[in-house]
Amino acid sequence: MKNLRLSALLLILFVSVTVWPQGAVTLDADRIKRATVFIYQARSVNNDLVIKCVSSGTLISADGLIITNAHSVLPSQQCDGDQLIISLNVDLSEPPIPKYRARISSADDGLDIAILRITRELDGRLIASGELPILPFADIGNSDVVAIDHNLIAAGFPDLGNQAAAITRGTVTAFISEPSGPGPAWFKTRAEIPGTMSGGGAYNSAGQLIGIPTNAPAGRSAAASCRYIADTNRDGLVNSSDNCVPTGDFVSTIRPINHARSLIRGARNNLSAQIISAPAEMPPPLNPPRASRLFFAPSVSDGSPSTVVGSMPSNTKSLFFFFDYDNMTAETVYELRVSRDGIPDPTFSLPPVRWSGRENGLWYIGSREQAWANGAYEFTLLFNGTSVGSRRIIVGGGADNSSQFSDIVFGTLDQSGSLVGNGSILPLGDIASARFLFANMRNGLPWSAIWYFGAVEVARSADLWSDGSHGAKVIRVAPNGGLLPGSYRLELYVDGALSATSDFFVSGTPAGPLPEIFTRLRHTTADTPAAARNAPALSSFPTSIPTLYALFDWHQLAAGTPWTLRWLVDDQVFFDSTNPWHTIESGADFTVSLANPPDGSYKLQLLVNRLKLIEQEVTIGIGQLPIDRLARFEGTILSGRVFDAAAGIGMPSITIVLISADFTASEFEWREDQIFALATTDRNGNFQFARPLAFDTFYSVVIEADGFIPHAADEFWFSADQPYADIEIAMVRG
Amino acid sequence: MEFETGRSPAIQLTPRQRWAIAITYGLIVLGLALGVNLRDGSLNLASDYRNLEAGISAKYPARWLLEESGPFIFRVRDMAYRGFNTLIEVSAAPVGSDTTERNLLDQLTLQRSQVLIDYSVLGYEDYRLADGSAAISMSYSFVSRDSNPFLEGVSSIVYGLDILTIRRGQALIVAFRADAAIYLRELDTLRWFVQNLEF
Repeated sequence: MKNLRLSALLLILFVSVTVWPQGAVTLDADRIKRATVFIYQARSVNNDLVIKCVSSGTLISADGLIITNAHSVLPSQQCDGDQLIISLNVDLSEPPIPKYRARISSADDGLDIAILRITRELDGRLIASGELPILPFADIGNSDVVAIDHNLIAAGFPDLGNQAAAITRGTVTAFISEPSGPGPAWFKTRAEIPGTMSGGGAYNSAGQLIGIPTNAPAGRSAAASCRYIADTNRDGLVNSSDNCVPTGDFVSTIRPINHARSLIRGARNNLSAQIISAPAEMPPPLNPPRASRLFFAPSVSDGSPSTVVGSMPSNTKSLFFFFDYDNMTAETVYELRVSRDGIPDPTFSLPPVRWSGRENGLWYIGSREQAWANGAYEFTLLFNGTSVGSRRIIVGGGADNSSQFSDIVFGTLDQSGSLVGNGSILPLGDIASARFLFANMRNGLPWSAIWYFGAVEVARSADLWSDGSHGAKVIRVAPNGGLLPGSYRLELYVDGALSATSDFFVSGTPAGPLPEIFTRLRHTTADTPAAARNAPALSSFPTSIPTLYALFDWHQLAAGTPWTLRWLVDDQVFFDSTNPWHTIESGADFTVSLANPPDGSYKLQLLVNRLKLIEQEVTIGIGQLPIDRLARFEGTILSGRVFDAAAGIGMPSITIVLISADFTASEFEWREDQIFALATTDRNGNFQFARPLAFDTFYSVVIEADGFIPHAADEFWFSADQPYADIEIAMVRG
Repeated sequence: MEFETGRSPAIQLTPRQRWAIAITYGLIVLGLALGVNLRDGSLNLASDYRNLEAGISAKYPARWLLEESGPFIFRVRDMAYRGFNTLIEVSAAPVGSDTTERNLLDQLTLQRSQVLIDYSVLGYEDYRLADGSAAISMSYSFVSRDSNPFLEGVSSIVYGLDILTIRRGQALIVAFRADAAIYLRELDTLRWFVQNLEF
């Protein structure tokens, strides 16, 4: 022990510490670059790997979770690879180096987000649990607090792996809203982000990940957005006969990170939910995608337009472009081109991105809280690069005083004549009622109402207005044979022009004014789904059950009705899937499962058309998720170099022992439980502790190397403004 | 100005001074010898390991790192070696009535081939334990590389030797691994370890 104390003095003499403060911008950029990865999607062909698609990605956990675009990693017609190769930014000034293989942990092809997990070494060897080194990763921020003109830093690889990771700076120039989720569906930026940086990271000025730069390659025919980089057909030439790796055009859209939170949470906790009762893959639509009924609305309420407008006044700050769509798939690429007075307007345009909606329905693209300059706007919608419709609107002039209907809600009338219900889902019955507001109407003005069941008109009324200029009106429909389960639509016209429209669903049996669609929601555990149907319902489960099953019955739910299965753990969503219902209208024991759930409180919610109808919570084990001590990357990254004091050259294969804060070097007895972290020097004598040192905590260091005097030192500590530290350690022969 | 030049007078040491110098040199040599002895003694000391739950006691070289969390009963590593750290790992595995030593070694081979680089079995031999009981040994080699992707890690060729015996319905496996450059020398450490292993 005395030897160690003496050496401690020596170490102090021979160690020099360099600390970089947190405020240094280049260091934030370095950390972002280190967390950025380059991803090859490749296919095994005759014992060779052929690159099919490339993208950037971002490490979001120390144990190898990566977030990227789904379109470049999920198998598809354009990207038909079966291997994912992960290249790391080992040297920040050099191109990335392939190091690992990964698998898809969870993905949403509509949102174009995939979460990958590193599972194998590059040579295919499995990486055992806990054997992966602690990797640098990005802190995840809150994209809901991003505002227009906020700084934005995009990180990714600017070409097909020939250059080091790059940073591009810009600002958030616009928000784009869609029905694909809460908050903005997209951030827009004018930063010049190359196509291969799609899937990388978009960061705020604090270095937190707030989004994923996202584009969609325009297709095989777009020669400008793909590259021929290898002789994939083995004809001795690299030309257009070979596989073309799509790169996409410049990226100007960012998918906010909050859209990915449930996917990330599910992947982090290895939570894999499965809808067992769902049939196999639905066949893709045979006809090409198409759009119809293009119109504008000043605002959106529960996914429906508040009203329909043909022009907007000056100082407009909210405008939405609506259209009906059909035959869409997750691989459909859509685009909106907006021009003002004949000049392209990049702020409100949406470049080619993947479709995130269903196969058919009503969609909107718009913006809130952003000023629209006066002018004549032309909106042109493109599916898979082909124009499917366009619509013009004038912004400017005074307030619109034209006759107008708005804000349609649906329900049933109670005995006092009041409309009751949840607004958009009605139970089976004979009569559906709708209430709407009217403004600037004139008595005697022609107006009409058309009711549809699916695409079929079921009722129409045309009359002269007689209810005054402003107010609310209730109308109703009583189709022959009553209200059948399914999707309905009401269109209101004033003087022959569409003025308001909204959709509603009829589902479930009546329970007062509300529908009862899902019943007998229960949880159980069993060896098989069939056994689960006969197993008793439970509300608490022991730790380490193999499968958690949830079952429910359903009533009068028509095929095609959008329903949502949402699963939460500890009140955080980890699975959120909306699909059209595609089984029989009524039945029992619809089954969903969750494999190997860790301890936690699990809540299952069932929704139809975004309305929560039923939920149930159960607990497993202690009722709380295990704490992930590496979930946040806080502390000092300690790296350095060990060198021979006599020769001045770096010493390879030296082990540096960092003793935990509970022990000093003199108390160290070479027991694993006394060690905070180990590091080994590389061929140049460089080392890096993968585990960050906690701020304001004392650590000790011990180094022993054959042929050299042992070193030991106490009281290594770093404060919160020292995220990176570099030490030089000279070893003396002895 | 004149300067006086000339030789300085010869230094005449007294016997007492001569003795003092001799004693000083002697003390220095003695001190160095003591230091070397102390160092060697320190380095060659043995530590005791005892695990009552597993019914195992052993001695291992002092200043080797002792680890008990992992898929083994315990493991010790020589952290001072500049290369692959020599390790000795003791683990146990359940066996059935039909399980043979060879079955277990083949199972180890299958597992290791999934995670070790260029894992290759070199041969099998009978092994005699300190108490005279029979065991089987398997020698193998693989390549070890620092897994930190951000460092230029140096690969090492590693030789390994597993000693496996079945007792009381349980297989005990002593795994020994060392850098190929020092493998033969380190085998002495393994023999000493096995001689002192009680289970």
